[in-house]
Amino acid sequence: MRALLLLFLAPFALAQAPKPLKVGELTGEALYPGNRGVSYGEVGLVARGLGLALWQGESQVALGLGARYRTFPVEADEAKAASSLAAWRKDGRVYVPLRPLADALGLSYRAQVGIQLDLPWARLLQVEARPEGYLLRFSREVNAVVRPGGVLFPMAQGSHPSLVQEAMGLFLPLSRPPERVYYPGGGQVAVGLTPLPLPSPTVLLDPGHGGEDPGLEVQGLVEKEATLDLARRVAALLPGARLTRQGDETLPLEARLALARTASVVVSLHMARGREVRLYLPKDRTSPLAQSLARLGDLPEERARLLRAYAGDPARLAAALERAFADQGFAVAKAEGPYALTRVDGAAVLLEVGAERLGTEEARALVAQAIAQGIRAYLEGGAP
Amino acid sequence: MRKYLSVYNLLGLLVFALGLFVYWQSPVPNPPKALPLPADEAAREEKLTLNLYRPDPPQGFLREPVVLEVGLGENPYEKALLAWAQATGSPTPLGLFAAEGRLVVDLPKDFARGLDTEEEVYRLYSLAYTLLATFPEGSEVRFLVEGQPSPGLAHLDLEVPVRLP
Repeated sequence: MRALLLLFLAPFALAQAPKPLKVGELTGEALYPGNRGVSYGEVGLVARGLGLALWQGESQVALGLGARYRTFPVEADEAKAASSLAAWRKDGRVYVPLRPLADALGLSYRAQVGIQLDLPWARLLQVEARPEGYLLRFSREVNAVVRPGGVLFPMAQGSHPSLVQEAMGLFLPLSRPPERVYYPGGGQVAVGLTPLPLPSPTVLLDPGHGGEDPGLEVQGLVEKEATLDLARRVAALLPGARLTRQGDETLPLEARLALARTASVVVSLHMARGREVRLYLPKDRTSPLAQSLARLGDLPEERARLLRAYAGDPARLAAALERAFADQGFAVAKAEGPYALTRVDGAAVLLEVGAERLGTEEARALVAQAIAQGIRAYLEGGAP
Repeated sequence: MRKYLSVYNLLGLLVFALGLFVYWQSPVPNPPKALPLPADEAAREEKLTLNLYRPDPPQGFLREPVVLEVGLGENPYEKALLAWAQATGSPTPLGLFAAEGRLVVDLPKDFARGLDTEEEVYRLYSLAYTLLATFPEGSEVRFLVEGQPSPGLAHLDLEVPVRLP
């Protein structure tokens, strides 16, 4: 009777005991944390055995195959890990649940005497070779590993004049390292050989007021007309500069702000009484992009260029404009505060020109020249 | 005719006549009246000291206390907005209410029309400082335009709340 009971209990006990684990050609041990019947494998072994991409952080671990990936939070408590299908940290090693991983990445999972995790070899279906790079398509998702002399696609096979079959997979020989490798999905791998064009800084000119809002009217000079004329003159001197409004239209501040958020340099043009030129700029800038400008000098040139396209320094723009106006003999008054359209990541200022400076064609041409010169100096980095 | 002069009919007529008599004799119910108030309440007016921040460019603002009489049923917020508008020659804001330690002012969209940046700054900050110095229940002023949050009217960013310096 006792023997029968032991025989009955034995399979339950054995089910939770470690089992052999075979991952590709590698072998290890499958564990069952918390005796929940969920098989786990050591993450490094799984990644090496099947050529998976592995990212391991303090609280998360992720495994990827081409465009597919699966992220697991890491738990120290084995029962909690097994019940939530999280990764399990044991004695400094991280174990991941095998079946959820197989489902996410399209792996083959077989449980018999032991656990076998496998990945069928991928077949090369198509290769598009272009001067800017290669686009390869496989029968399943494939990882790409950049190695000296080219790119290896582990566990892939096929034949193509550009590729060499190796024991580990297909190898794409390249004369120089690729600029980027990415996975567009659908079993595709793109290998880029030429650098991506970096975005150029964009200039936005905002003629203040317009439509039903004429702005100031000083001795027959209407602000909405004067600012539009001024903006057109500046744009003519700065190829590529955009205007928030092209004609006499009512444009709400919301719409102007939406445009300002997409520009590297924003100059909102207004008119004031008298002959003074005033620059209004933001006081405190708290956005992460704006704050990262402080580290501009420490960044590599490419990243600095990218940052300059999306973030700007209004104080430096104001200084450049001030210097340009000084060259024309104009004094500029500056003020900091919460001015409209200036709370953006780019370099944005509100520029107000006295009506007496805009009375004649020549005077406007002079002001437009100063503004264009200031913006150009800012973009070229010539201002202090 | 005789058939109508039955005992029951005569008895019914008597009861009807009695009811009519009671109806005519009963006093007329009082018409609805306003709730009686204490005699001194009706005449009472509250005094509100408006701490007016009058624009004084380019120095800043001149602070002037202005005593307002707030009669029964009058809203002190509306009274303050009206007094500020009259004192500074500005359009009257559409409304003012207090919520969560903040004063919210609703502005008409042409509130700053025809002003340059400096003039708009003086108008809006004069209003905000006046309200903050008058109504201690608010520690900052938020502006709405026509009942909606707005990035501004023309020159100032109205998404940033205004506090007393």
